[in-house]
Amino acid sequence: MRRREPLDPAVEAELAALDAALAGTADADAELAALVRDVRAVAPRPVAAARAALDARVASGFTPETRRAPGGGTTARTRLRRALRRRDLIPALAAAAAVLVVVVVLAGLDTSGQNASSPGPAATGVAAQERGNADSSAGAGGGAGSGGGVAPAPSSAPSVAPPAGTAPAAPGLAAPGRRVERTVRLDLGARADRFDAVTDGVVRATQQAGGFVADSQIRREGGRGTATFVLRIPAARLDTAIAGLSRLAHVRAIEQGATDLTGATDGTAARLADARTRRRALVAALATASGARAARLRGRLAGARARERSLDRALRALRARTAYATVDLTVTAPRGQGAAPAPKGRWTPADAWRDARRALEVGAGVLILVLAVVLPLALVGGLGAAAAGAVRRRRREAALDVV
Amino acid sequence: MTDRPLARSAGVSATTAPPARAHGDPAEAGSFDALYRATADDLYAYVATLVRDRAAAEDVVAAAFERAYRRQRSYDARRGSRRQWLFGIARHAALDELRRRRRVATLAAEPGAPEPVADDAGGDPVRRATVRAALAGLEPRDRELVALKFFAGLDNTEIAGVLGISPSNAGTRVHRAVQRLREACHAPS
Repeated sequence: MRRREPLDPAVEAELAALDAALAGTADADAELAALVRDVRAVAPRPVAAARAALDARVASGFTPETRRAPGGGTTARTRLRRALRRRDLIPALAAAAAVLVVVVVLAGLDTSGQNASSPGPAATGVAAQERGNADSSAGAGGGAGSGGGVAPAPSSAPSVAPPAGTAPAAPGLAAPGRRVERTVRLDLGARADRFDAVTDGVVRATQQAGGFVADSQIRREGGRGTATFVLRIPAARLDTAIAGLSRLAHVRAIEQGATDLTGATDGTAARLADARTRRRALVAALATASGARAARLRGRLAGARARERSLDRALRALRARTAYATVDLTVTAPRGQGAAPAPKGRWTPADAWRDARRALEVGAGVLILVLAVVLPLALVGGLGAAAAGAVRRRRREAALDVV
Repeated sequence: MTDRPLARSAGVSATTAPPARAHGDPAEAGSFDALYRATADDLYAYVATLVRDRAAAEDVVAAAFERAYRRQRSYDARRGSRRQWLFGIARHAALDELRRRRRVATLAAEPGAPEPVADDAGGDPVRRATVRAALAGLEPRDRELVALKFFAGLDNTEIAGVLGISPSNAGTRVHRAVQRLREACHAPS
């Protein structure tokens, strides 16, 4: 609001006199009254034709023929501009935008809901890692005395998760004749009231697959439950076992790893064969030796036997690693009504509540994202509009200076 | 000189000081038609004084009325009278026209028809010619103030609203412009 500053009293008095003259009061200053009459007498007036034309346009509500489309109707652009000018459309546009946001959010929920209710992996990536090419490192670095310390060079090759409900296929090294060590990490989410049934099912499924539970820890605190298992399952039946375990509860994440130990195993077996041959040769030589030579041969024979035993242990360890797969399995049941929907696809009120809460979270997230984008843009746009308005006003005012 | 009331827009006999318009002014009565009838001639006089071209003034007045017609909903009585609002719209249109003419200018030497005026028939023709010359010799901003005060009949607060300045500033400028007009009228030709 502009501050009302006092005028100079003399100026104010003269302005009052001017107003009196303009109002035509009887006591107005005669000279000013004459000036008013004279100035008004020279006021430009429109010619009759122009005034009549304007009268007609006003009477018709300004429907300019010039803006009509050739067919007689208004152009689409004009109609659109007029429609956008209508303020009563703002609530409708806002409602449409809200509906759009809701549809987008629900569509996102629908997609995630399908994943959540399916027995397959809902969690993002099933990252299967292949640690292949153990051949080279084992062959070159697995020298004498390395025993079981075979260190295959890891090389990662992520693969895509198998579709829901199917047993995750072994990563591509399961070709015949290859010796592959397989590891699986499986996270299951169970409802609290099904936690015990799921943990029992883990043991049962493991035994059915011919495997065993190498280690297990089960904790229950209040309504929460967490169980961790280390399962050893015959590699040949791993896929079937994983499929069975996946059906027990909602699969939150699954990760598979495969390490090709073919090279290491073959190398160790070859070295073991050499060691045996060498031992036999030493035994044969010792049969004909005597004296100091026999003593030397007995010393070498002891070393050869020790090496043979070491290689034999290493080879058995390698074969054990490839014969059985290791499954690190975790079952979690959050407090309350459970974190995962029922595995059979039932949709309970608890699921509905969770979905509703998720929808609100997603909606709030979308709103924050939109605001994060819109607010700075609006600020910049507002400043730009203000600057443009100031420039426009200045240019308009400048137009008077050159008249 | 004549003492009869000055020719004003149809339906308005004297659009002068604000007290005269405060009650029952057709321009404030509500309908756009009433506003048009009360202001058409005054608006033309103001715009023609600004742009100093009859055809351009007719176009600007028509455009101003059309804009006002389309933006009737944007009028806010708290920000001033309808008359002030309309003259503000017309001022923008006129200044835009002046800017446009600046860009395309230079054809400008069109002779143009003699400008019709309110009442050339009566009064002292010499005096009228003197006043016309005095008006034409004023700075554009002073000429605009005279037009807003004498032709449009706006008070200082309304003039301030049209020009976007404070009322006291408007009063000072009006006073100065009238002083210059009086001096120009008394100056030897």
